Amino acid sequence: MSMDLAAADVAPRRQHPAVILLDVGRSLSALILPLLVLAISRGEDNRQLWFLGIGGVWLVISAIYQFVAWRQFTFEVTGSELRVHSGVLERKERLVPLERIQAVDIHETPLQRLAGVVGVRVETAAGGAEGADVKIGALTRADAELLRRRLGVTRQSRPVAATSGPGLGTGPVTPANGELIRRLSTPELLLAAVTSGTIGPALAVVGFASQVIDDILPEEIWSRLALDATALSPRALIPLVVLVAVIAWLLAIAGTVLTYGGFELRRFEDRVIISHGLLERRRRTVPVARMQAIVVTEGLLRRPLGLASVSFESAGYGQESGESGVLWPLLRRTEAVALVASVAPSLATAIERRELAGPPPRALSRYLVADVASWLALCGIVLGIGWFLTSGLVAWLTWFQWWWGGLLLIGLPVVGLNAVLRFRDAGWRIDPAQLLVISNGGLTRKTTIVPRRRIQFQTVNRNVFQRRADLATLHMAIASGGAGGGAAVDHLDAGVAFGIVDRLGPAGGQPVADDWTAERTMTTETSDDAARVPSQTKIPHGSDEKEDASHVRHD
Amino acid sequence: MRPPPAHHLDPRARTAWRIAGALLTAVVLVVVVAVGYVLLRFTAFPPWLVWTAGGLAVAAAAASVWPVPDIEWRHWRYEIGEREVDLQHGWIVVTRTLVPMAQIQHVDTRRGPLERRFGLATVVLYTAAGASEIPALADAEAAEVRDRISALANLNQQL
Repeated sequence: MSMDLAAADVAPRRQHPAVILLDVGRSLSALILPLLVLAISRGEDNRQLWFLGIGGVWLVISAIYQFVAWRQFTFEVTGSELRVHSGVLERKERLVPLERIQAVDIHETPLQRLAGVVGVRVETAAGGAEGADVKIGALTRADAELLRRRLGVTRQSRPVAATSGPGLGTGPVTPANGELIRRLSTPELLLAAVTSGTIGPALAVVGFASQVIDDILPEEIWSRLALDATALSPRALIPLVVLVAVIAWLLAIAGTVLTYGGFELRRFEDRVIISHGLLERRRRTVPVARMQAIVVTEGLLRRPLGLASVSFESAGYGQESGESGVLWPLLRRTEAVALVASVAPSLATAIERRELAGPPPRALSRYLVADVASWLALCGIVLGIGWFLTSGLVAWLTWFQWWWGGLLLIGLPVVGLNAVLRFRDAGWRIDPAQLLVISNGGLTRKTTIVPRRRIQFQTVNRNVFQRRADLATLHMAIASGGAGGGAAVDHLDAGVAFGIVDRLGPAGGQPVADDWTAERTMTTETSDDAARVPSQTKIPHGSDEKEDASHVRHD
Repeated sequence: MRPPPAHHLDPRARTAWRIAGALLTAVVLVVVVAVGYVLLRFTAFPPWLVWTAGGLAVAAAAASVWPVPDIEWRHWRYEIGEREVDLQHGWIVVTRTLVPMAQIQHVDTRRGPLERRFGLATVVLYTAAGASEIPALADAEAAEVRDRISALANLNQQL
């Protein structure tokens, strides 16, 4: 086997044929259990032969399939990209710009070692999502090393912006050498625990409410129901629900105390060190450069008390997968920005509502109508199901009354309030350091801070009603642990939404767009006033790094 | 507000989607007939309910033969700029997606059995926050779009 030298192109080539055997073996392993069961089962007839026959056919089909898959799978390196052809039924051709490759990982399972081959994984920042990178099942070790060297050539000539910054990699980080920013006090921990659960207390409220209804409603309703129902009568159910809710709440409190006990936030050079846990002590070191977004969350019980928690989204690089984590479990909302400024100044900016621009007044009816209509639709569906269950077609639930779904209408004022709050809280802001703030409200509120260069893509949605009212929903996709997260604002003025998209897109960085300023003055109470940014002096730190990266590109 | 993206999908997309819709309709029809038969034969469901539900299901599936493919095709637009990919599609909800070249990690073309028959291909762009698709371009055009995006992604340094 020969492969061209490192700097040259790698001509189209296939994997080592051993991959066929390896993959057939893997597909056969699915049959091992059924065959085992078969082998130990009594066989008075020729059933065993049948199953062996099926196994044989499976083997042949699988071998043919894997052979074709091997024939179809070729990879090559041309100029500045890795090109992979694959697919049996659906033909696929994947182009990976060498510029984007973050890691080339050579690994070896026992089976691969037996066959004298290794597996290669080529990873980009899109990894994590299933099948999003390139997997080569079998190459000889020499070929794999050559491929790695070839793919690594361009990588070494440029700095890996996120991993090799000044100060990174100078000795091990321990909690001791990090500067302590904040430590969670016991009262804070208890408050965090009591306000943490939302399902538990909600269940408790439901249980309490049904107890009240139980007391108010005339006795004969229950007795009439109790005649039909036996073990599952509502009477027996209510104390049970209350009990379960209370236990769930207590467990949630205990869980929070154990998880967040001794929460400490430290800073060491460009890294944040988070440690917490009473039983199991967890410690996480996150380079600020890898943080994609900061999220300030005010939960159902916390929002009325002016409390919030702060979390972060961080991207995966190479082998590490992306993650989102808690930066600080409980603090006053007004302190949130200061806390972010103390550990990640490049991500700190004002998030108060008076700083944000919001949807136009005509959007209020959209929020209200959409939420109320979907709640009414839910009532209708529950009523329909109730009617169906009691209509005599299926007489499963004898104690169930068809009109119970109508009780959901009691929740309508809460839904309305939530809609009004959603309208009032929806907001956005772009600060001078290119940080985007997006706020999403309701009974709970979520505020996201994301640097412009961390926005993976932008989406503007307009449904039929929004088009009529010239409104639009704006969505920003952010890399995060798992499937990828994001932040959205509903029912902005369509012109404003597209203005934001232009402003945050690749062409919008320069302070050019005159129409942008026009749009901005159109919106109410936007304030990009630098003086209001808490740690304004420190913010250029974040953009310095970007300048460095773009500078290196041109050399 | 910026103008919509310049390019339409390949006209053959409509036929390909119609055939896919016909296959779907056939499957739905078989299921509806089987379920309907069981319900009418063995349960006390009112026949009008069964007929209405079955009819609606088949009609909804049949819409994927006509007129949905034409409407969707009319509303699908794309444009590959120097610095971003601009996509717009949908008619009930109009979705505009802008993907900066600097965030694109890799690009695929995919050709399923039906697409191959019509000489069509789908381009898929991957970012760290998920993938976007441009469906049903002519084979050669899809390859060109893919190569162009990959080249531009190489030029636009990751932020």
